[in-house]
Amino acid sequence: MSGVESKVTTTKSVGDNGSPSGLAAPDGAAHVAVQDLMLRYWSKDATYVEALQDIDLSIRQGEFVAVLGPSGCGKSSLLRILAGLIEPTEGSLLFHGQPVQRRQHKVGLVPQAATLMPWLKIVDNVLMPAKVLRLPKAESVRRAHELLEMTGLAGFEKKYPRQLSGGMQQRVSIARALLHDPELLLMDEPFAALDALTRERMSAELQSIWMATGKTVLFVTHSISEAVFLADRIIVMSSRPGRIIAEFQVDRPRPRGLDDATEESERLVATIRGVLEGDSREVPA
Amino acid sequence: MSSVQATRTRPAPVPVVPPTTVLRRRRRRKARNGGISLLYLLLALVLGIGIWQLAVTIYRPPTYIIPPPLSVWTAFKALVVTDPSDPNSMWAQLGSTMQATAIGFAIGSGAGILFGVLAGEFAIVRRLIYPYLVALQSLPKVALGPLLATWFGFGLSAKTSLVVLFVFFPVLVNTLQGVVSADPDRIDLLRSLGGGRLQQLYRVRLFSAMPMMFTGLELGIVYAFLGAVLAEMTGAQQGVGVMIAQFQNNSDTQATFALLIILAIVGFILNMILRVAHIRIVFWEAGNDNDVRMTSAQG
Repeated sequence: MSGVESKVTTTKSVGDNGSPSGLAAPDGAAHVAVQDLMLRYWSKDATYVEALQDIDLSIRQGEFVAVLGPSGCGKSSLLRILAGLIEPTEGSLLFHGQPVQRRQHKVGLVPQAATLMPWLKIVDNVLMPAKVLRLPKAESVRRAHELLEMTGLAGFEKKYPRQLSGGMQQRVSIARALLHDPELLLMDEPFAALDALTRERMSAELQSIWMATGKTVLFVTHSISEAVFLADRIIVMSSRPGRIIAEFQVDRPRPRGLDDATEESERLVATIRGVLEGDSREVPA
Repeated sequence: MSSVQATRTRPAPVPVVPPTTVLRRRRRRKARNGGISLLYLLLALVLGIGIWQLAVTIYRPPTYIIPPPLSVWTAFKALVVTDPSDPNSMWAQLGSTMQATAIGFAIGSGAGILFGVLAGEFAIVRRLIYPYLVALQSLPKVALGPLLATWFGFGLSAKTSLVVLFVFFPVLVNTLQGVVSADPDRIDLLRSLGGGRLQQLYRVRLFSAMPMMFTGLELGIVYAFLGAVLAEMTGAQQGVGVMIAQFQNNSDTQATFALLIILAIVGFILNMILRVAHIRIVFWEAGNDNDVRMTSAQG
């Protein structure tokens, strides 16, 4: 029976070059992997920040991984490293087992705010990646319309972002992130700015979009229930320095409904909350 | 008595209004607000002229100090009802001023936008030119009038060059601010797609800069007109500034007043044109649907 299986992995100590956590896919099958990732920097107020410590993570092709953690745990930094926006201090980033240089891989970024270009029509916003990457026009336009159809935005092509609601803008942002058929979809708390109802509906829609496209997804969130609803696997990070302190496998069958939260999934939410609270108790302030 | 009291305190029924009606009503309210503000404007004008007339009637100052409204109106008509083809007419002189304003504005704002973008994009450019620009800006540019006249003569180019100096700085500063303050998330989005600096510039930064750029242009057009008139007053052969200087020499204060009113109207119209262009071109800017921002120009 497929229910919710969960397993808490122990935190690795500094300097331990040992094997990656048990539930991660073996390296050969990993679609995206980060190894021994460290991120340290001097912040603006001249304090030395250890943002990420010993991050090992492999993501299978088509897997939906959610990253949970308290604010400032470096989960967004992890996403930014995967997006090629910042360089890690140490460690490597592998796509299909091959180390990648910055910007050699294709990622689709869905930022927290929809971050559309208000001066462009919806269809041109979705076509932005094609313009930047200089993809063939006719094919891209066809794909843009397909994606707008899939995200329920058909008929809004000629509108401007300001004419759309927050939820619709975020769907445009998702359609845009998928236009260039990226290897990896990176979502940085994409529904954080939406109201609760819209947020739930968007989760359900994201699930169907994901099921239709089969993309590998890294989804950063601070909502436990959102992570439990959406993800195949949940990574829990500790507050600074950001480490992976737990991983949970969520094997609930799909498509999952918003209303059919099982007892097990509720128990998983409670367990994860316990892990997060335990972590914050350890780290004062 | 008590029944009246009761009906008064009963809460009014909430009207059920179809959305189209709400929209129509809002539009009507907006039109009415426009009418009311025009009414206030006229009221203030009438009141102002009334006080002016009253003061002149009571204190009887010499006409060359404060002329009565009616004589200014006569002088105004004498200036306006003239043949534009007559080179000495107010219209011909204004045309000469407008020519310097337009050319100077085009060059000054073009250069301001260009250097604003360059300074916004390259920290080196910013560091190299910025101190000099600030020094130049703190210089009273009117004092450059005679110098420019010795370099360029008393014709169009002297006037235009002062106008350029007046326009350049506000446009540059605002453009620079706009380019620099582009939303970092939008820039990140482009970077995540591998978009380099050039793409970041023409796909995001230039558009992000446009609201501020237009604020600079709105200031710039007023400064341009100001600069042209000032240049004419300090040394030129043609233009409304020359006319003002002549009127002053003749102690023709009512004509000076009349011409100043014309200049104020022209300045207002120029600023309006830029504001309308701002709202039309930067259509995505929040609040451009309804509000009309005030841009003040002093200097």
